[in-house]
Amino acid sequence: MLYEIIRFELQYRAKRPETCVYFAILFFCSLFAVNFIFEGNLSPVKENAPHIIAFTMAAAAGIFMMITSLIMGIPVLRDFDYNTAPLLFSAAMTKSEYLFGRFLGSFLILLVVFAALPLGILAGEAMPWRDAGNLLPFNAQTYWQPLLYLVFPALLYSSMIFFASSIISRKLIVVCTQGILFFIAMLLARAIEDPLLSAVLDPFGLRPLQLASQFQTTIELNSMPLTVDANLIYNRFFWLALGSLSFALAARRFNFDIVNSRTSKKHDATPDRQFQSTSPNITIPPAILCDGWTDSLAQLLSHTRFHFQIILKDMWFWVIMICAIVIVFINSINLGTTFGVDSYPTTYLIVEELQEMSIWFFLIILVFFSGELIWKERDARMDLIQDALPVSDAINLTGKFLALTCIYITLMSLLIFSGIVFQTINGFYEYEPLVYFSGFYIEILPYFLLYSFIAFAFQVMVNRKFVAYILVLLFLISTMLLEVFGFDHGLFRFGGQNLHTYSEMNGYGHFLKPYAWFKLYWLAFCIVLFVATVISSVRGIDTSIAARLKTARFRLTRPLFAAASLAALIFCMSGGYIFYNTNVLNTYFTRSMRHDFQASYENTLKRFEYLPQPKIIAANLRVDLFPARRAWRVDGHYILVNKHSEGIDKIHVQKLPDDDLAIEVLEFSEHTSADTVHKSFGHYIYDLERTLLPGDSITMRFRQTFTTKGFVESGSDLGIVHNGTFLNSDLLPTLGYSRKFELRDKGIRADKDLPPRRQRAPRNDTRELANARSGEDGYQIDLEITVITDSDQIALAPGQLKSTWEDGNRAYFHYKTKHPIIDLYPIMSARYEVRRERWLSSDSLTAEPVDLEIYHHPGHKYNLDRMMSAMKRSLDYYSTNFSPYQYQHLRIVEFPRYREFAQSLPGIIPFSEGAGFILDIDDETDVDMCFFVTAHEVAHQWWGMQLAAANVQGRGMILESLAQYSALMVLKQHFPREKIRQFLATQQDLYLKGRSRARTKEQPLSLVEAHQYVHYNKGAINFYALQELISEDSVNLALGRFLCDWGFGSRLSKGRYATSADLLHYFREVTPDTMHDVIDELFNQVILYDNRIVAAQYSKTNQDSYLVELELEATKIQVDTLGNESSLPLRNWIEVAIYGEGQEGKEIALHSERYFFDTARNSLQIALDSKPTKASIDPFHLLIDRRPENNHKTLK
Amino acid sequence: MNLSISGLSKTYPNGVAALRNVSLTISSGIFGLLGPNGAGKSTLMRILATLQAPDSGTVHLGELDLLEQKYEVRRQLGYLPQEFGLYPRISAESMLNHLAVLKGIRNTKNRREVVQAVLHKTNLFLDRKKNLGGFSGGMKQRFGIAQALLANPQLLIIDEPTAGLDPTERNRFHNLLSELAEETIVILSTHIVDDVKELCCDMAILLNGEILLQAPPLAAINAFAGKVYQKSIGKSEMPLYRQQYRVISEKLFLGQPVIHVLSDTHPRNGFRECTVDLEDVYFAQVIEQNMSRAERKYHAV
Repeated sequence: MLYEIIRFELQYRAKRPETCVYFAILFFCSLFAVNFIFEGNLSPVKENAPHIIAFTMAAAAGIFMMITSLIMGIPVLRDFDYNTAPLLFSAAMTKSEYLFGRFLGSFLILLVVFAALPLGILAGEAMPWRDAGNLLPFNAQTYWQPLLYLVFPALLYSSMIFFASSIISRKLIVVCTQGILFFIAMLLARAIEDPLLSAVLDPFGLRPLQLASQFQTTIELNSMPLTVDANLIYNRFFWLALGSLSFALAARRFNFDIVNSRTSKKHDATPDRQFQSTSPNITIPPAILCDGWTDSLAQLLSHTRFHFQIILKDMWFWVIMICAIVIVFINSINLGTTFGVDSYPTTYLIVEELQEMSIWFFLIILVFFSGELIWKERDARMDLIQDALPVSDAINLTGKFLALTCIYITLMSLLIFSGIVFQTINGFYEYEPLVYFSGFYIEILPYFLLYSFIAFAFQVMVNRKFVAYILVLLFLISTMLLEVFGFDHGLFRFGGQNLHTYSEMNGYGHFLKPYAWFKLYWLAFCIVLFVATVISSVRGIDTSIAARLKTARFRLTRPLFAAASLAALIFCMSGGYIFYNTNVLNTYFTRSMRHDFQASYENTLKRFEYLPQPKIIAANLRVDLFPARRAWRVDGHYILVNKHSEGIDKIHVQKLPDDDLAIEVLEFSEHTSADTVHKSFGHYIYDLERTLLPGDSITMRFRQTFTTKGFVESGSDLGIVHNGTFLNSDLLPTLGYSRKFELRDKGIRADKDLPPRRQRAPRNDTRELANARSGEDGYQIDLEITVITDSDQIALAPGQLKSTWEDGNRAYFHYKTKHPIIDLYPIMSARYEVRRERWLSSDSLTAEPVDLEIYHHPGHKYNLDRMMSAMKRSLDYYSTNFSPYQYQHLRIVEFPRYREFAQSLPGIIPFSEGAGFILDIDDETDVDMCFFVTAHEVAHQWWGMQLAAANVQGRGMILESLAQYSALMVLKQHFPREKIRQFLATQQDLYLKGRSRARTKEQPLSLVEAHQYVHYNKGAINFYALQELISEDSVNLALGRFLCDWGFGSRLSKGRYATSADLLHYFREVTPDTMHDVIDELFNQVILYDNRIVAAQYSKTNQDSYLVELELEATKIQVDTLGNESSLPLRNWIEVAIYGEGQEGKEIALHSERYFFDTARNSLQIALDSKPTKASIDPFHLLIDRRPENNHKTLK
Repeated sequence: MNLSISGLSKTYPNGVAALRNVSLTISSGIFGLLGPNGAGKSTLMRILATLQAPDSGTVHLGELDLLEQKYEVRRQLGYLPQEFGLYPRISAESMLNHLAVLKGIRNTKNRREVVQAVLHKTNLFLDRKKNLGGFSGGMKQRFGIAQALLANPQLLIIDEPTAGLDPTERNRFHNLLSELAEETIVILSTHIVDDVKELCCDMAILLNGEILLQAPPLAAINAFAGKVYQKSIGKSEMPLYRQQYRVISEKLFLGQPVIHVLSDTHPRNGFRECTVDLEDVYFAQVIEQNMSRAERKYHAV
């Protein structure tokens, strides 16, 4: 019998078209799966690396859970729907035979359908858009492992749960939508911090994969098979157990009867009154029928309200709502920054978080409720009554659309309310209703409305609810894919661009206008589509698309026609206007056009890269900023000097190849003739009539303008904005070839037949040794600059402010440098408030006072004291330990958060709105990162401004690692040691994550190219370790000597800039010979440790005396340039600390000492005089360890 | 106002001809559309309710072309489909209120009066706050009537309304309908002859998509007066009688078959004349048609 039931199921399914459709959908989607899930940017991780395939498969099994749900949920439902249940259940068949038969039959079909997943992924590898260079050779294990550990268990447990819920609920709606719950479970799991719990609860098994691979490097990802660790096993076990349990419970509850007992009870509950009228004499009063447009409007409102109410009474709506809010509160709105410190819960940050967390819920509502609304009458079988009503189709569908809109608005309002609650809980009362409003109703509501039109259209045209669901999903995916494949012009890509980041300084700035135009354009499109939807919607019982299209003509009423025509007109006109702006006023570059341009720039002009060019020694500029119309103009001149030993005949001037920039005047003080053959690249060659002899100078006078014309499709200029202009001197004309225009991506370079590009030249490249930056135009320059801006703004540039005055509505700021500066400087302007203080060097007899100024957005006062104190303390430390500070001013200047960094330039530190001004530092629990970042940037006034590093490998070690070291020393001086430990732990985590995501081989510190995780994170750790080993004073002594020899003006005397080799030389000088190998280890090698406490216990030996016994294990691993690991003999001093309970239950160190280890396993006995609680090996994380958690053990 | 139907035909894609050249003229009062299951009644009703397009033919409601001026027709239409469901989580009153708005009753006071009146009429007033999901079959049917009565319909189309009702409910339903029918065209489709007998002033018999007869029930009965005879016979005798007489119906009375036959003259042989019932007219028509079709088929061979 069981066999018979299974056979019936298989035969039945094999004949059903759905089975093939499901298979086809899965296969088709799997072709794109890897590209879609990883958004096409994996290299150098191979696209079929085991981890990638596993992740893709697990994610796809999750995404297509609806198919599982439909396949598993339908079989029992079918028996009830087609009323075959009475016939079947009376047949000679036991309950378990029936249930198992249906389940197994359906599950077998499910497995067949999901075979499309690996097949599709495999076939996808052969698709033309895939590059064999990004693929590994086929390895069966890559596929069967995830199938066995991820896909099969996921299908099995989800099948059991779906089957169970369908036999209990017997409702199609449950079957179709229950997958959402898993999705929500996944979101919940992600929000949990505890790794094990989070890993176990993720229904799709993605979290265990992420955790297992988070510190894996590219090479490990490409070579290691899927990690089947405890997390994954527990996860699979948990979900399978849950599945079996629900199946068992459901099977027990399943009554082999016909009528769902719950609903039949309901009927009995209502006593049936008879037909006879209670008041037989009543007559129905005549109805007053109205037929004006206001009456239609009233009908529309009523219809909207009606459908809105129906959805409000829908259980699923509340499930989604509640889950959304639960997620918000579980996730607790993550305001964490990369620094490991939270920001203040400012409204815009809350809005961004809420948007990110809720987007899936909106998509679920969009897809699901659009179908529900369209099918509402038919699902309730009220369609014939509804269709015979004298209501126009337009009112019917518009009412439903508005009801859906109300749903979005409800959820958004609920989210806003949660946001306000969250802010209040956190004691932050600066609510900004307008930001909330625009963040939801302007930024994301239009997006969902546009897609709702699409969903309505699909539901009506296809007229199959579930097919339409899937098509809507595919449509969503395909618009994302279009972007991945580079067809991203907002005129083609449905919906256009998202609104650009909000900034408190600049609001939505100039981004709102193009956003509004694109939305208007697509809205008009959608209205035309909606009219088409309305006139072909199903009314009555002729449902075939042919019949509907035949009558559509008659249903196009005059108002509808008028609306469609108007919308079509708006569509064309706004489209034309947008095209005029993006493609006529501005040049539109597709991604490939941009790449072609870059490639041909390099091919044509690379030969000029090291052509000797004169150097700028002075710049005198007048910069006119027009923030309101986003334009600027520079008039001025450079004085150029030939610093080479041979004469120069040709001067190459390079303008940024940006259409908005124009050089209006460019002339030299000598006769020249211009060669404009490379004009298209913005590259002009001026032939000097008289050779510029070594030491001779020449003046270059120029005027350059930047004009904003209309708006661009994307990537609009962020330099000049309404409030918060931040321009850099590299926007001005430069000399010679510009390496920064070159293509960087390895794959694209290969496509264009360009040789591989090094991020940094090797340390013996003499040409780059002479450069501090690529294509450096001047070593030291004198700058005199007048910046003119709107009178409500303050303009800033390096140098002393000589004078400032107003003329009409323009404000003038005249700056002049006292000492030469590097040839890189900013020009900034915004409506600032200023905090001013002064700092006097301890050597106050000789030094002038330094003006400390913070130019900030009026609201951003939270951390000014921290910044100010960091500036003073840094200046104290650096001027005492390294060398005196070189300027009479030091300014921190805020700029909008479109770019999130802080940067140090001569005497001026541009500091992003998003990088410290709104950090909410809790002095108890956080490291004062605002202090640290400020100290780091101030340190660059030495490392970068006083001493420039050669543009070769290891440059980052001099500039960034030394700044990290310097800041860390200031931090150490002013904060407790515990903060240092916390800081270093974060650095270690960032370093390990950074190296696992790195796309190129890892270099040791002294050869670092441009990897932040090396020069920032590892730099901080290793320099800290260095000063622990050889003492802070020794390090500072070496740095002082280094500055003295390689600082100001040494470029000309030495003929080159400093390298990391030079720096290491100074370190060796101050290090005892026996420890030179430590320097080697810290800076010239990549070393990892695996240190742990194997066992730890203590015994009380006496009153007030304790003996701690520790079993320790330490392993040292060397990673070579290919990423291969080998173990090295251990010869290290490693710190071991014992902690106990101090006052108020705080943890205090009872014992901390460095021990010399030269074997992997060691035992220690430590006598103490108070009760120990915890032991740690290497508590400060000075030895980088991928499993830092086992470095500590609670004592027993 | 008259409803005139002429030359209406509808063939479904699967080849079933639901209506063949149907022509009818219907005026105020209750019009019964009688026919067995599958005769095409529902198709005709749905066409009249503007929910389906015929392949050919025209329908006019007074001056209105029912197939072209759907909106105008719908404003005068009340329709109770044969099968329908209701939104489970809405109360009867708010559902009626919403439907009244959609039917164009905008004035709130007027709407409330109308809704309350139809609730009273259908005796749902006391259950008006109850969710429709909890309604029994009879209550649901009454709700269906209630919604059809909103907005003074000039054309009331009621498809198989008594199918799910018990005898008392049916009677009361009939009373309600007859009350309404004074100035309204009520078209009632049914396969139950008694419904028509009790209610209708005019009727038509539809079979296999064709109108067999249109006449007031009384006239139809009178046409057969003195032509129907009945006899109680033995079970085994049936085939014999079928061969010899035009048997229009066979019924059981106390377990014994009683047959009605149609004959212009008295058949003797133990038959006795009986009062003609509408049912006899109906069966006579059905039998005749089937026979003539069988003959046609025979001739075609």
